[in-house]
Amino acid sequence: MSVGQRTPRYASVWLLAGLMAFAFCAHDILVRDTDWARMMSGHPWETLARFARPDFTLIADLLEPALETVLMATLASFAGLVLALPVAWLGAANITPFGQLSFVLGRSLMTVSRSVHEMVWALLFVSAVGLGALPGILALAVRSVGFLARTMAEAIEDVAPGPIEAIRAAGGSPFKVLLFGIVPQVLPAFIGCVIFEWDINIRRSTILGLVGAGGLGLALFRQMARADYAGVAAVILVVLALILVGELISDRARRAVI
Amino acid sequence: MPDRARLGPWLALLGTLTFVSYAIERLNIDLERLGGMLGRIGSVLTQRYLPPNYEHIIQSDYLQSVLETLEMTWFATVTGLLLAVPLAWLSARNLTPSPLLLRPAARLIIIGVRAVHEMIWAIILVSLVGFGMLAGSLALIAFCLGFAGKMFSESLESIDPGPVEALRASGASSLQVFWFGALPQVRQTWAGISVYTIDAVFRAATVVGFFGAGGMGWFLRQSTQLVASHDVAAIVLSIMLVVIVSELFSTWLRHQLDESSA
Amino acid sequence: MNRDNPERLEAVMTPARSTVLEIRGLEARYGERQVLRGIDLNVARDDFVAIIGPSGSGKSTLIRCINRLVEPSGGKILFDGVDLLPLAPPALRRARRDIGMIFQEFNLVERMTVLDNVVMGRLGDTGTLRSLTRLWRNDVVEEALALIERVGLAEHARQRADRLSGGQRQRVGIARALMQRPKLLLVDEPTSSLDPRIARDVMTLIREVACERHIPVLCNIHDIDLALAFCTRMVGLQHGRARFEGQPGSIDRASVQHIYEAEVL
Repeated sequence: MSVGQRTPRYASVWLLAGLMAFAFCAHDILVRDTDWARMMSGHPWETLARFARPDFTLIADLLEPALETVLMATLASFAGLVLALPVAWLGAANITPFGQLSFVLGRSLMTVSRSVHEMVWALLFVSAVGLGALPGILALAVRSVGFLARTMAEAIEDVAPGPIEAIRAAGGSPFKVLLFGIVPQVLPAFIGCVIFEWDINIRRSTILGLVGAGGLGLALFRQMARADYAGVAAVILVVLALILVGELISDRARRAVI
Repeated sequence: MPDRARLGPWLALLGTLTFVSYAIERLNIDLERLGGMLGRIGSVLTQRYLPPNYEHIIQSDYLQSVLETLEMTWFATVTGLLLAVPLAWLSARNLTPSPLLLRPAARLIIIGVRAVHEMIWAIILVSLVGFGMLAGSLALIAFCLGFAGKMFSESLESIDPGPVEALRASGASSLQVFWFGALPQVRQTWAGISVYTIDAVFRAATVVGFFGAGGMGWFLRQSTQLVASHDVAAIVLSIMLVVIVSELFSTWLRHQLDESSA
Repeated sequence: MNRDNPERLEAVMTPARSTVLEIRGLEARYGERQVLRGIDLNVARDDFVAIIGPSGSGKSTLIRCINRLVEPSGGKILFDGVDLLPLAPPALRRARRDIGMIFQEFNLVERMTVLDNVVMGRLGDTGTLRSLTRLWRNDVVEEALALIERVGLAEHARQRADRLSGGQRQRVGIARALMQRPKLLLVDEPTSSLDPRIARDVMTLIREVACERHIPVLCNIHDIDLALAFCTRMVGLQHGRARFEGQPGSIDRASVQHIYEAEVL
């Protein structure tokens, strides 16, 4: 016997529709688009077996690229912060300088930044500044703006209105309001989300090897191109270690500032 | 010491500058290339990419790949979320049935799949199972596991411990404690996280195809390699369009969820 | 539980035949801090034992050690003649089913109905599949409804728990504990979150249902007057040790005041 659980209306209809769609997708992916004969042939398992034995001799050569990756992610997060500040200013409803117009502009910039994948950004910047670390860093920075600016704008919208009013009352310009009324209140939240983004940027920077950005990404793509799966596994292990350490540091750092 | 407090920001600035210049030096970044970058992007955009070749994105092959992208998204999100639930339960400090064995294992899985970027997953899986949507779907499932698993388990760790204690005291098994003491408390949050996950998975799905893992990404790669810039522009625009549509949809869905709970 | 357990045999033969719970030399620690320093306590059928003491005296830890929500560091807890401390998780869960617990903060699942919350008292006896699909047996639901009526919430049975007042929530908590058909009730500061008049009603209800069903009660309580009014026996705790024990009539106020002195200062 089922007892009085409130269910939203049409829930079962939605559930059924979702399940049917899932079955349709599963059929397309698993039956129509997959060559099971090849899968069963043993080739995937042989490859997997090669992945399963990471080439540890490579690790010593990966320390330098690892440092480069950290540097790139850090620089990109800095640059993202610098770019995000004005966007957050535009996109925060309570301080946006030119009313609805600049607010919509700010919010659109955030959406554009987030809706383009870091890889597409990277390809775009390669065509503007050539290959190397620079397009990679720019891509990560621009990609970070969306998240950073949005969380910052939200933090700005949540600030206590008292100090802002006081500065306005004293005849302060919008810029002074920003500098003295808002920045001190939101600084910890800002630093917190930059650290969070830094963590993600380490992860993202691994695919920038594609645009020749150096670091672990380049090492990874090099091993991949040579089909040296043991080497790929070694690079991934180093990435994993880096992320674990990064998670530890960012956790500590965020707790320290908040 | 008041002097020290005033010095703090300057020291931070100095440290930042030192670090930035060191990093720029170390990474061999040629800052001159930055100069006029905006102008160059502008001219590249107008001369090479514009106008976008819209015909390229309304051909049936491409539309088919958009459908594939949607299919992979739905398949991977549903599967990934279903797998993320037990992982989140096992890895939540306050609910795990096995703090010494299963919890570290579940946490390692979540952190491990998160550590590897979804594109890297796509490359690896293509090399394992071959070109096609299966590789892409598996990569997206991995992404979804790491994305939702972490958020699920964090929301579990911040629940009110009262009901959990009460059920535990009545002799309920740890699965029952999770199901009745914890799930009702996080249902709302999880619904929001799930919608957010669909959105993120879809964003990733638009590009995993770049390495042959199914969906729209494959066309991006082809036209990039052929330097068919007008096609690239059309594809990038179409990706932005579908991502923005999906973002609007997920915002709307989250609103509906909030209202139905009120 | 193993009926041929020699310890149980011993329990049957000793004079304190009606003893349900026997605590010997119970110790507990949080890290370095020793919270319980050797507690001895017996609870027999029809006992209503009140544990009083200032906050930090270890009352709450003592109660939670009995069903091992807090893991004791030493001693013995004989419940129904079986020592609970060495039990492995499955056996511990079976033992917990026989021990009902009522909490200071009620600990209801706020987003579920009163009926759901009460039925949950029977989770331990419900198979995994049946419980996860919430297909409760009819007789279980009937029993829950009867208990809800007994605690005076009949017309609220299908309301969500977060719509109820504090006193009503505690009544749900009581019904949930009774749903286990417990052989012992552990009660942790049942009235601290309630205002005084409702506190008295709740204590009366606990006392009544316990008498009707012959369930012994072990109750932490901060308020000495309430303790004196409802208990049959009283234990005073200070710094993790029992300072006195006796019937309400035989206890002199001075020694009660004494253990609270530290707190007043």
